[in-house]
Amino acid sequence: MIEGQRWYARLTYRKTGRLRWLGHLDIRRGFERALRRSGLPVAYSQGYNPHIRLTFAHPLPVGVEGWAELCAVDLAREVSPQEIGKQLLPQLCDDLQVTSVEVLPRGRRSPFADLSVASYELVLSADSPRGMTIVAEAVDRCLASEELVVERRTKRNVVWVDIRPHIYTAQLKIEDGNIGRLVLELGLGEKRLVKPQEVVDCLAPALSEGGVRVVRTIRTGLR
Amino acid sequence: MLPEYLLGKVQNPAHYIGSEHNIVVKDPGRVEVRFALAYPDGYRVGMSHIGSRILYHIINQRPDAACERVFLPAADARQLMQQAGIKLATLETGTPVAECDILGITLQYELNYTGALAILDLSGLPLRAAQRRAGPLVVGGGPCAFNPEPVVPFFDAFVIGDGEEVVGELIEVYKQAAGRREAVLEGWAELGGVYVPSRHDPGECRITRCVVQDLDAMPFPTAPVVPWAEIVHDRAQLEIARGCTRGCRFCQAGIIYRPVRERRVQTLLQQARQIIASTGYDEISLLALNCADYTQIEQLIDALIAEFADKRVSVGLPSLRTDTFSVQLARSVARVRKSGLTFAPEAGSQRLRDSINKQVQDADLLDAVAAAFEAGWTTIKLYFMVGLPQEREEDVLAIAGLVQQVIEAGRRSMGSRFGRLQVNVSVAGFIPKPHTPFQWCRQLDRQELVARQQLLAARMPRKHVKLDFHEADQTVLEGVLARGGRQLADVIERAYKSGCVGDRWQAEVDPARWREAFSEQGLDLEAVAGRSLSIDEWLPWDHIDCGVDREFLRRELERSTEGKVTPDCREGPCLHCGMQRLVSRCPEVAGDD
Repeated sequence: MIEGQRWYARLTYRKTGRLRWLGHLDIRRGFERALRRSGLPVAYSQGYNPHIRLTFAHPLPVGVEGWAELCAVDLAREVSPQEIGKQLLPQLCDDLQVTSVEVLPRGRRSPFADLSVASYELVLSADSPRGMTIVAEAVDRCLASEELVVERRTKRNVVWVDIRPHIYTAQLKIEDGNIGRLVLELGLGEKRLVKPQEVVDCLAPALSEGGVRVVRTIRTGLR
Repeated sequence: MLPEYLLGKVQNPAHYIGSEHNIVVKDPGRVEVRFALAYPDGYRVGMSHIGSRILYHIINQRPDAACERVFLPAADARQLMQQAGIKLATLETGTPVAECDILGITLQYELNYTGALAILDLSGLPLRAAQRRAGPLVVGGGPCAFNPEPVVPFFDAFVIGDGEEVVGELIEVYKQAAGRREAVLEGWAELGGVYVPSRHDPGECRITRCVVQDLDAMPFPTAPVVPWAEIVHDRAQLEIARGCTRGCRFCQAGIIYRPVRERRVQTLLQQARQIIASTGYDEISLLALNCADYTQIEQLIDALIAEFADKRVSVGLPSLRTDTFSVQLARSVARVRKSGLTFAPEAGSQRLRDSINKQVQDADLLDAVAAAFEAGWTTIKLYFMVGLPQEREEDVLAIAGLVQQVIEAGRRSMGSRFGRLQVNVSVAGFIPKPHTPFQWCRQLDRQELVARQQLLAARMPRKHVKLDFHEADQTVLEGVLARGGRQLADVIERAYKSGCVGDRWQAEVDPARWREAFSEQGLDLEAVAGRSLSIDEWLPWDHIDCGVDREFLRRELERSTEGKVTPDCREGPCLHCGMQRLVSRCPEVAGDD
């Protein structure tokens, strides 16, 4: 072991069921309290008001499920992943649960600086099989287009952004005629970010024409 | 609990999902009594209420009963529920309230009365007890139950006083009567401290308050529900003592929670350990009407600090006295002087403070703030009241003078930090509350109250001061509801139906609609508020025996007009307030052997 080496636990977790309605700050607070209950040797920040050094990869919007979300907690000393799992899992619950643990040496960079792609699955429900076909065609048209400009509101102004370059995959898999799964791979990070809702907005005319609704939004992974 | 398809449409879905850590979910088929415990305000406020948490814990400890929580949904959720025909359901199992056996509604605050009606209405229950043939029996409790008359028609029963012991009796009777409504009510009416309006005539009955004699032996929630969403008091709570005998003459809590009862240091330490281990909170707040009065407060704080220092748990003292001792205590627990220190002199002049029996001298306050400034605090909060009985213009102006002296004290003791001094002055309007020496006094009407606020605002120093007045309309309304009789039930129902689901957090108190509700019943809100009651008159709460004699209250009122103070009975002789009828002797305070 290298002298002075610091470690962190990289946690993969899911947010599902009723707990998908939690906001990002609720999740953070929930993790902090679960970590405190677990008795694991987590590292605290310095200063008068120490807090657990816990970072999240990318906040998940309220209502969106996450199947393989990521967060990282700094450790005060090296602990085995098995030990972390054993102590932390009982403090969480089925709908907010850690699914895998890695213990890694902590470098200078953020543990999540390299993440660039988020994958999503949107479950669509149509009144008729024809509706789903209309949406499938619209998805293809989106991919075929050279640019897809969406409006983004910031606190001060409205900007126009072309999201097309950072839609890496968009594919509608029709299961039985009325149910479809829209699989998306979208850019992450400040420059490349595309929100699934922005793709849905681009499809809005087709969704409305085909009588198709988005009934579930899942972020299936980050890489 | 809201169904899935509504969660995406409400502002705070996390308030309606349950599934919190430490939630108690029981199999409904395996319990005999299902108790829905409702707080007639939103999740953020309701989850902060320690009384409800205590009852939740006590009921759920029983294998034969399940306690499930219900809060008042916010306006957006209420509207969606009504449109969709969704009934209010418990957070634990999603069971409709209407299918529970007992519905307890805590009444902490008069302006929540319409919230209580909203709970009944959203549950699909008729508002009036007389019209309910099925569904849960509805029981009220909390401080407002000490004058239940304004809400009597909506409830089947009221618990007066400490709920710890009587709640089990309610459940036992319910079981014995096999849930048959009439038989249950008959049985409840036999219990001490339970007011059953259909069995008790206010003119003939006397309902004597439930008093827990040994607070230390009472169960306390050591694995409380940990909310996901942020709530108002988002920390561990430890009730160190109940009751206060300082005898401020406006204060209802100082009467209805007598005598002073304390938990032992060892008990508290053990509970604190369990709460922190089971919740993961990083702050523990000591609850009492006055933490500094807890006999062994220094030992307790030392023990808590020793226990938690390396666990990064801080200790909070939300209610202190106006003296340097309190500042020392606050100093001993505060890692950072982040939030301001709060003092409540209540009145500006010595004459008026004597009259309300608030035994604080100007020097106490000035010494206390100087000590706070020296210890590093830069923000001070001061609580005052206007409209107190016997208040004159000079008393109101004295508030401004006292604030000026606080600023001067800052100038002297803060040195270069003086520029950062902030004094937050919060001014409430006096409200005469039942079971207090001032219960007979008149309350200022809206115009008078606003005039005094303006008088004070004009004289208040501007620099370093943030002045905040309680809403005059709400103050008047709260007073009228607090002292009202049964005739107010119609007003409350009308106000509810016209959309006043009042709670101070959601600011849905609409004074115009309330005024209208009064005038439709031939009552003038302002006139009712401005009325003083005669000493001989029958008061709507005279059948509720809180333990303190009416004669004691009358004597205290008299001493108030004479400007005489009455010392705390913990420091002087027994004042014969009447409590000894209910407790063989006033318990020894604290004592940790």
